[in-house]
Amino acid sequence: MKIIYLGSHGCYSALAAAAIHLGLYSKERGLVKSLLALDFFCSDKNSIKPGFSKKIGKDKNDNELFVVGVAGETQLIKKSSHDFLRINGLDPESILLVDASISNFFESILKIFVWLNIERVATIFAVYYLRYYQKKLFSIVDEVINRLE
Amino acid sequence: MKVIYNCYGGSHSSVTTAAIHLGLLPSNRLPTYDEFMSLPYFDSQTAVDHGKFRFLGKDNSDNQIYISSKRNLSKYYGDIMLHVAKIAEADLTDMIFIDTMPYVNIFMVIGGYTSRRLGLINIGRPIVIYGTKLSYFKFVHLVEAVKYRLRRET
Repeated sequence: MKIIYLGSHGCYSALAAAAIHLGLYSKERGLVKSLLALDFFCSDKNSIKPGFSKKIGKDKNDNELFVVGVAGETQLIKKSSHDFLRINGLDPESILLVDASISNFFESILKIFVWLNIERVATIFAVYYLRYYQKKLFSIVDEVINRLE
Repeated sequence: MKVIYNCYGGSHSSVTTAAIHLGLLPSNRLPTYDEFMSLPYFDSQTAVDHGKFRFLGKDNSDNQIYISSKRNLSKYYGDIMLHVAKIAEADLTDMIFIDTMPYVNIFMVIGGYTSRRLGLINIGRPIVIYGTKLSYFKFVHLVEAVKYRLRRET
């Protein structure tokens, strides 16, 4: 199965959720280290553009994980994707779209930092933001994993 | 080929352009109020419908014509959907997303907002139809460009 984590941007909460799913971001390993080790976490202006998409990897059950940035329109993209797959003769259930957007407000602030080229501040802010919401992120991923089992 | 005309709410510019493409509206004159109102989905979709694909019909060359709404995603909507298509391994050569927003004028925005968002249909609808008439031949031109592209690609 293919799983797409949708976030306002593909490089923050959606990426963190995918990383949790893959076990790359665990409580044991430490949040900050785990996030900073992700190759495009909070990386550049390209990764905060809506439509940014990347394959993150495969989980232990061979599910492929992707992230897509959808600029706060996760529900709209879910509906469009469902209809889009259906009209193309594909099974809409073959792809699981997961709303991993936690706070559009925080992600908008992050976007401003990146646009102002103060990426160091953006990184610190992003780590703080994801740490603040980590419980919610873990629960989103737990729900996905339970659904897959 | 599947053509997906998309705009903010899927109620005015995308419906009008798709209708011109399908011959439901004339290409050589301005439509009447009743002609606009006879179109499926014209000035009728609301927030809960946003994102849904609506099939309007098939053109003479058997292309399937759809409309959709994308709110503020602008040109990124097509990019996002193409990424999803790529992930789903759908045939990317079989579809085109056409953004009708560049031809939307201020009257369409104000009228559309008043009718669809505020629910003041009696006020908003005449304004949005007035605005649609102002931009009408731009939509006709867009359809001609799309049809030319379809002929080249098929």
